[in-house]
Amino acid sequence: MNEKIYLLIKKTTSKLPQDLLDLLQVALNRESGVARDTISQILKNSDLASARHLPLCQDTGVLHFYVKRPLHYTEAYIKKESATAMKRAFKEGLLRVGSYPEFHFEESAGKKLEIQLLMKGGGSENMSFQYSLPDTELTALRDDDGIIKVVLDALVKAQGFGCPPGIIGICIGGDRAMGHALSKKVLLRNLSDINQDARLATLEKKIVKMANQLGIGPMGLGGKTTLLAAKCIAYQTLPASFFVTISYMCHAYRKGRIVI
Amino acid sequence: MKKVGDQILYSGILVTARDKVCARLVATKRSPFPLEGAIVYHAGPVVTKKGGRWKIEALGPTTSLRMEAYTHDLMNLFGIQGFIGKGGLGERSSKAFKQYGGFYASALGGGGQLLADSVIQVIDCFFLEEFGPADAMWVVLVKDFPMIVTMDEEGNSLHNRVEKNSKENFRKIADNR
Repeated sequence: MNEKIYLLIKKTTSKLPQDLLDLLQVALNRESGVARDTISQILKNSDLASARHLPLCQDTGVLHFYVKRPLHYTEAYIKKESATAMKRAFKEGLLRVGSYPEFHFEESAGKKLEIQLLMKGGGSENMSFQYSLPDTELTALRDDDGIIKVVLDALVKAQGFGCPPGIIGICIGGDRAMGHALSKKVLLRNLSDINQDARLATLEKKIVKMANQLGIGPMGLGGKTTLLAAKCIAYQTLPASFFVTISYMCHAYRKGRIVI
Repeated sequence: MKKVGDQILYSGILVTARDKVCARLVATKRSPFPLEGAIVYHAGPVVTKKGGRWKIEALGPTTSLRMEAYTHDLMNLFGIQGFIGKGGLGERSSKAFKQYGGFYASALGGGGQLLADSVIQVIDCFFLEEFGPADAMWVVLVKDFPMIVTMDEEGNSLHNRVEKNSKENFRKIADNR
């Protein structure tokens, strides 16, 4: 199993997923000047990394392993195999010293083991934010308008620090810990999918449209493309709380999946 | 004089310095490598050792703003002429650029391969054992390292402009609904 996890890491660190590449291509066609040059560079970097099987970005980040495990696989075994795989990846320069794993386990009734990997660096993580509604400073109430407002505020705070244009995961509800966890997990979705919940689907579209009106642009140097996609999830919450948590993901959007 | 908007392919020496190295240089007022006229790159690479020699596998920039507090002292103490990173620096750095004649250039965040490609040679490395490879001071010779000047010695900052503009846009779209 450690061989399969090693290959998952190798692919994830070096190859941008097709759904992101498609969105970057759209962005490239829409931009001009420095914004266009930046997207060009991102695509060139992607070609080089993919051809060489070397890291897209030197911040290989936290390796989030989302595991759906049939009961005959123990957590301990999966962690051990992952550690072996990572050791080899470090040696070969696929991971930077300092990267470490986080495991998110779920039991599966089936026979197959599914591992999804999300590699998330510190730059984007530093630009994740959590808001508590109502937010009096921003005049944001516990409604869709309020949610949109705080999301846009988060993007304005982030400027170019989180390496736009990337994507954001948004959790509406949950306690603080769940807000951060789910807004990150939702980043695994296929970027071209449409949310099954009609209200959230509308919200996602609106957010991207308005985000791109901010003019922050690629790497915060100005432009029409500040956000490529937004993915929302709603979760239960206590009457007293209403958290909106935004997980910021950069353009080095590294995700992968294997089924064993 | 480098001006905001200048797109440069830089050939020469770069010295990486991020959180730990910047703090150490300012605290001790000493540098193991001469920094007069140097260009400092806020970055921490992925490296491997092949046949006894270091190879830079990925070399994109880190967020410069974390090192904002050090710019003035680094220029004053060592005569550093400019900084490269991502996201820009702040007001105090801008003043230092005015005072000492410096600049800030943005390199592609996440451009691990693109930027590592410009490295011709790893000249030296300092603080490696103490700080580890991601935080060490790497002295590298580069050719055609692509960067764009986003802060100059006249106090111009593209980052400020974009931020101001984005806040105005936010106000407009937030209120128009």
